[in-house]
Amino acid sequence: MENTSSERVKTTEHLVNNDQELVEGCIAGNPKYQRMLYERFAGDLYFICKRYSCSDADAEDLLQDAFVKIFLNLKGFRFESSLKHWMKRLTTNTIITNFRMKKKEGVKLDYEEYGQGVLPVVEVQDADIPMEVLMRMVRELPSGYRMIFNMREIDGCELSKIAEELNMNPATVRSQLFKAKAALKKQIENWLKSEKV
Amino acid sequence: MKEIGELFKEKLTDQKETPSPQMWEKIVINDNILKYNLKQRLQRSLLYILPVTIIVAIAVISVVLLSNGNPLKQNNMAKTTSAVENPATPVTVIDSISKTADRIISYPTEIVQSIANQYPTETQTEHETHLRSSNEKSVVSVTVTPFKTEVSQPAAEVSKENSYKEIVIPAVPSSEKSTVKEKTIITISKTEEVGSQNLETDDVEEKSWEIESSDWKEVPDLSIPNAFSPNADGLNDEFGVVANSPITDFNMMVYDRMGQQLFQTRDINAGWNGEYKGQLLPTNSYLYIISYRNSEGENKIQKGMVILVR
Repeated sequence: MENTSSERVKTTEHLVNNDQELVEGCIAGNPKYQRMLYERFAGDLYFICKRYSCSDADAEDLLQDAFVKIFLNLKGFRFESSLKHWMKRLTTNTIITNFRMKKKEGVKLDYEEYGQGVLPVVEVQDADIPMEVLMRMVRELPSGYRMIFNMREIDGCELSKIAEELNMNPATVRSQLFKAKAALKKQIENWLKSEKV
Repeated sequence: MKEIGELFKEKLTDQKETPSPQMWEKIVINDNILKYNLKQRLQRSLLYILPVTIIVAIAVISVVLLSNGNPLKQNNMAKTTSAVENPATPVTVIDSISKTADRIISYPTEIVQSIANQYPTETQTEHETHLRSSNEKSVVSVTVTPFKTEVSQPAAEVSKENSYKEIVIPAVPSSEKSTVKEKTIITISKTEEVGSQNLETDDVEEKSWEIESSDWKEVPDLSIPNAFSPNADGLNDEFGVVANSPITDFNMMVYDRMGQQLFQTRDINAGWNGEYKGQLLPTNSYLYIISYRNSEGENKIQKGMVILVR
């Protein structure tokens, strides 16, 4: 009995290194493999969820939704891109869907025309600010600003695509992005001041 | 100077952070995941189960075909006939009733006649309906034992009025009963004794006459009002419950919408007057939680809203 169980552990450990087997195990509905998949990628995905949300509880809710989506849709994964990339994209999509649903429920997004020209560049003093501080600043943004800033600046989405995904006016997206940047600049300046003191 | 987006992008791209340890459990107990896993596993096991069931089915069918099917049918026939032949003789039925009965009522002969017509059998038919009486939680069983030969004779001996009024309380020994009312065709017997109120003959007659088991409704253990008006007008000034059956371990609690407990009692006769710490509470709906043990010994909890009207 002991021999067989140890063999099993060995085989599964070996499988952990193989994406394909891991995915197949998850598709077959084996909780063991699902757990392995979770443990391997939860960190990456949780970080994404965190910077898109204002609280840890929200982030965990998003992560849960994302993983449920991943497990249910793993059949559709064709190994054309890396598993990690696919999972990250699915997570972002989950977050966007979630945001859209919340917007319907009545999160107010102020609408303001901001012209069609090039967005003014917001610059700050280059300083080595710890990741945690930056993270906190992003999370303290209003939900709409945070969404757009994350999508544009960190995930590198096109503005037109953001507008489409969030079902918003492109001009609104622009103005909100600018406002988000202005708010962050203010925060960074404040932080630098407090650091000097 | 640096563009603000880049500053953030540098630090916030491709980072990791471990979620809380409970996270995995939250995911794995998700309904959709559980359903998915179950479905997948079923599909897999179906691959094995399907051939096995087919083989078993073939085996069963072949066995049935080989045995010609006749022995099976004969068995069934034997069972049904034995069930028909089984009923005891009239005397033993009456004996068994009198042991449990505490009230026996006889009925006018027309009723008896029509019941006998309803159940026309050469020997005897026994018709039993178990019911829940409306005010007491006890089982009333009605036994109809029509005898074609005996129906016509007693009509001459017993006058109509007599047969209407005759109630025997309590249980009659079988010997006495057979002398007093051999002609009793319908007997109502209570298998469970609750209290000692006298049954009105007319009452019982009506009930027993229109008996249809579907007519009888389940009565809840407790009658709980859904509103009350504590305005000292003598009408519904207190919120309390009425027990329809003997209950024990009664406990009633009333909460407001914020979850603040406003009232608590273990006395079933006590009621809430709509006050909390001497203050009159406003018109609103309040939550009550009532727990009790019913006569069958089951612990029950009832929750609901009660509206306070001023």
